Amino acid sequence: MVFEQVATLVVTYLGLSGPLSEAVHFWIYDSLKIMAMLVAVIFGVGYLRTYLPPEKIREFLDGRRAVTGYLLAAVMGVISPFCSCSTIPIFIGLVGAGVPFGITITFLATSPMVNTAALGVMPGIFSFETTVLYLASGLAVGITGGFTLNRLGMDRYVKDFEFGEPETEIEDKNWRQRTRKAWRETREIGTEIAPYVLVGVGIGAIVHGYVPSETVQSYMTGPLGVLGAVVAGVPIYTNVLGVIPVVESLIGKGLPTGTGIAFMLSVAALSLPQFVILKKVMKKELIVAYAATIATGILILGLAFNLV
Amino acid sequence: MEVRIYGAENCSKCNYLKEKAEEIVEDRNLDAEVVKVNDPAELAKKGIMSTPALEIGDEVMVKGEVPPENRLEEILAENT
Repeated sequence: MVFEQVATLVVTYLGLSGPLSEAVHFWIYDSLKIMAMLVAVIFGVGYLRTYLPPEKIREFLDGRRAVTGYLLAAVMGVISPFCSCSTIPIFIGLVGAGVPFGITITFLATSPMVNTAALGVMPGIFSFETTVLYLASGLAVGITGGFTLNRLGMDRYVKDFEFGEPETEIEDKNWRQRTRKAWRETREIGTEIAPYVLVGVGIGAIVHGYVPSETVQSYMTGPLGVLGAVVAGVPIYTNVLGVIPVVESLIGKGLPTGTGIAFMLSVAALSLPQFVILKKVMKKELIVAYAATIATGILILGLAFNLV
Repeated sequence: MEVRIYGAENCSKCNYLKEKAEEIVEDRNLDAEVVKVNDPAELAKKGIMSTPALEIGDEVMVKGEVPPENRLEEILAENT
């Protein structure tokens, strides 16, 4: 593959050897591979998403109850915009339209945890099975989280908003406009995500070249490893795409897959800056319950996957 | 005339739209002040679900994207 050849060429040209050569090779190869896949996935999904503006998401979820509502909300969360800052206005719009509370929470929780860019990139980095496991985990945590918080009556802790008339007009676009919009989105999101990917691959490269497998196998396996992965995700604020190369390296060194998935989900869903944003729409009781429910869900799934 | 850009503090597209709008207002010497609205309560009041959104007067002219520069220039020049 051309990226492999470029990485090998650079490492040979620089005359590197040993762990440094492995780390630099990993950094160049993975950065090129992930960025190329990202551009393709963001463009493709960006184009398809022009058919699903937030107003359509609201239409889909409005009036839904029980199983269909939760399932649809989780799926909508997966294909929603890449930036979590875009999820909050949609969440408010759903609340304002009277979509049941549990369903709105499922959307809110699934959206940062599972995104289409990650799903597009993961099969090329991990196995197809790991990608499916990651998708299923995110959906399961989002759905059970929304359902649980609803049953606990936490809807009373959503902040009160005065809702204006929601926009109902959905602009129709021709393919040229859709392509332009998708391409703009690819440029904007690609530029935004690139630094996270480069740093993430850099950390992955250091792990790949310098961290002995024995260290990972001694300290990061077992049930405490999953708990550690969930807790470690809290202070980290990055895009899930920046975490993928780190987890890739760690799994290569013997990290159990369940622990790796738990870490990815935790970084995406439980990061502190995310809660600062949520504080604008939720009272602290709901934020604590939301964090506890999602963390418990991730922990249980991580432990379960490691047992299988 | 007030040009309001709606979007969260950490929404890079929203901050970029504000910068671009400010640049155009300054370059074309338009009689407008660009302000960023971060408060979700304001979004709720307007029924806006896609950010960034750009509002002039009481009309939301852009939502969910940063328009191409020439289009943005046209919107600002014609409505301020």
